[in-house]
This record gives sequence, C-alpha cells and structure tokens, in this order.
Amino acid sequence: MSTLITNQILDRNNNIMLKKGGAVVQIQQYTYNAVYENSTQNSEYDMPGVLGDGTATIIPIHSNSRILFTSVMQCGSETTWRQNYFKTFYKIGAGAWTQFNGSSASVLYTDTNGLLYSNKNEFLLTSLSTTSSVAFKITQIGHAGGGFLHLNQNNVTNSAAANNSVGVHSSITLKEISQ
Amino acid sequence: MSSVKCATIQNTSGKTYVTSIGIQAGAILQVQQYSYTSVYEDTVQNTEQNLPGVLGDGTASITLNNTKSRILFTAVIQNGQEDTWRGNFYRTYYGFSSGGVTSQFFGGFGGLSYIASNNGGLITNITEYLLPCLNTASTVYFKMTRTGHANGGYIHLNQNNTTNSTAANNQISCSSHIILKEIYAP
Repeated sequence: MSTLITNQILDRNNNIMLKKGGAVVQIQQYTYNAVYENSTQNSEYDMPGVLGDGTATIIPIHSNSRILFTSVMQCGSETTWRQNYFKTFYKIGAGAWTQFNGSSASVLYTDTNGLLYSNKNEFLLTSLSTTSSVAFKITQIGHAGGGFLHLNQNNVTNSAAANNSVGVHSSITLKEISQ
Repeated sequence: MSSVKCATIQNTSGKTYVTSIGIQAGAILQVQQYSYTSVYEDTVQNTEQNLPGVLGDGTASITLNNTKSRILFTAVIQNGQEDTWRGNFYRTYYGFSSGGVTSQFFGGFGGLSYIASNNGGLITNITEYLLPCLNTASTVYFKMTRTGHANGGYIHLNQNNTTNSTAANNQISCSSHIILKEIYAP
C-alpha cells in the first residue's frame, strides 16, 4: 500500500479540504443506558459502568493531538428537587487520575416524578503529549440537601419507577483533534 | 509545505473515502477553545452586559483557512444558583476586529436554575450554532453578553457548592467556554 505524505489537501477551487491541524482523526463513544440510582449525598462516587470505571479510552494517533471530550448525562427527577455535579478525569496508561475542567451539573425542581433533563458538555483538552491509551471517567456528587441521582430514569407518567421509557443513554464521546 | 489538489481520494482497492462533495458538510479544519473558570457574580438585572474575560471581551477568535468556510459556534455556560431562582439570557456576537464584535447572530440561549430554599446549585447549558459563510479568510472574533431576567437575574457564573452555601466556590472545577470549529465548505 502506498502512502502519500502531505500537510493539506485542496479541492479543485483551491479551498483547503483537509489539513493536519484541526482534523478529527477518530471518534470513540461509550454509552450507558441502564437506570442507576444513588441516594448518597455530598460524597463523590464513580459513575456506573463505562462512565466511571476507566474503560472509556482513546489511543491518540499523534502525540501532540488534543482530545475533545463530550459528556451527556441524562438526569431523572423525583419530587421535589435533584442537584448533581459531575467531575471529569483522565489518566494516561497506568498513571494517576487528573481532573480537568469538563465538569458539568444538573438541577431539576418539580412537584411531580418521572421527568428528565439532558445535560451535555464539551471541553477541548490541552495536548497530553502521548500516544498511549488515555482513559476517562466521570464522578458524581449529589447536593447535600437534594442530591439523589436517577441516571437515565424517565417515566411519562407521575411515577418514580426505575424505567428508561424513552430509551435515553448517558455517554462519553472522545474525538482526537490533530494539531 | 506541500499541497495535493484532487477531487477524490481512493484507497488501493479503488474505494472512495473522501470526495470534495462528500465532506461538504462535515470536515472540521480546526478547533479553538476559550475557557473561563473563575466565579463571576453580578446583581444587575434586565441590562445587557458583556460576560467576563475571554467570554465577553472579544478576544475569542478563529482565523479561517478558506473564505467559504463556515463556523460552528459552541457555548458552554455554567449557571450557578442561589435561592430561589436565577434566569439569564445570553446573546452572541461576531465581528472582524476584537473591538468590533457587534454583529449579533442566532446563537443566543437561556439558562434557568431553580431550587426553593437552597443554594449552591448549578446547571450546565450548551448551545451550538452553524453560522452562514462570512466570506472571509481573516480572523473572526466572538463574544457573549448576558441579560438577567428582571425578577431573578443575578448571575453566579461557575459558582457551585455541594452544600447549602452561597460562597463563591467552583468546587467541581467547571469551565464556561466558547468553542469555535471551522467547517469546510467548497
């Protein structure tokens, strides 16, 4: 197989069609669609499954690439209010977890049950100078006064049942951005 | 620097995986981010003000490669809460100089956080808007303003506490930011 090395590709009108810096080189996504509930408040916990167990990974092709981190948290509600904070971490290989500024939060206040709010966040990390596997995880802290978590829980009626009626998922999406 | 001009790129089996038409709406040529992590509070309501730092001073910018490119604007605003509710509106502007960011576009959005008799909450708001072609290969600058609702429009940007507190903390180290992506358009 032949390889053509270049820094950019132009179309026939001389517009840059692809270039090394800024291109999305790869996308990885890790999803969790089970209902997960946690009634502990004001304590930090790893999120369930791939969201918090460190298996959400990306292996950068280029050492100077940046990673565009996107999280989607589907936060269910039960009366009266639910406030949850989500902190974000990465680690390189077997290294230690490092927090970065991709944190997000959700608040719901309602006098009924079953509602859901979709929270999305996106953050572009600095270059991690590695081609080793980079793992990501999210942790959760519930507000001391109303911090129960009902991840992915939703009911189209006034119900607190652990259903995912509309088929949502919470996810981590990782994009490698070449520089 | 070398450049290759072509209409399609094929692998050795003759399978086309890039065409100038096929990536018209999708190719990202660059990504820029401008982040603000301090806690910022203001009690002015129903008056438009620039957001602090890089969010509102007109220095968030992107220099386009092509005059036909479009810009995908993404804003993340972390709306802190104090009893009872906080409602804020955000307008978005672009311009062709840092001091001339005056052209409003439809990237505006709102943030509402409401908890009765408790403080410390936060809600993450994100919006995304694909601007039309601006016909320039120069630098394009962006800023955001905020207008607090007349009845509950205090802003507590990036403020969050996991207890019933109004302290100016960013316990979870969140960021409010602008992300700019240049999108190829032939």
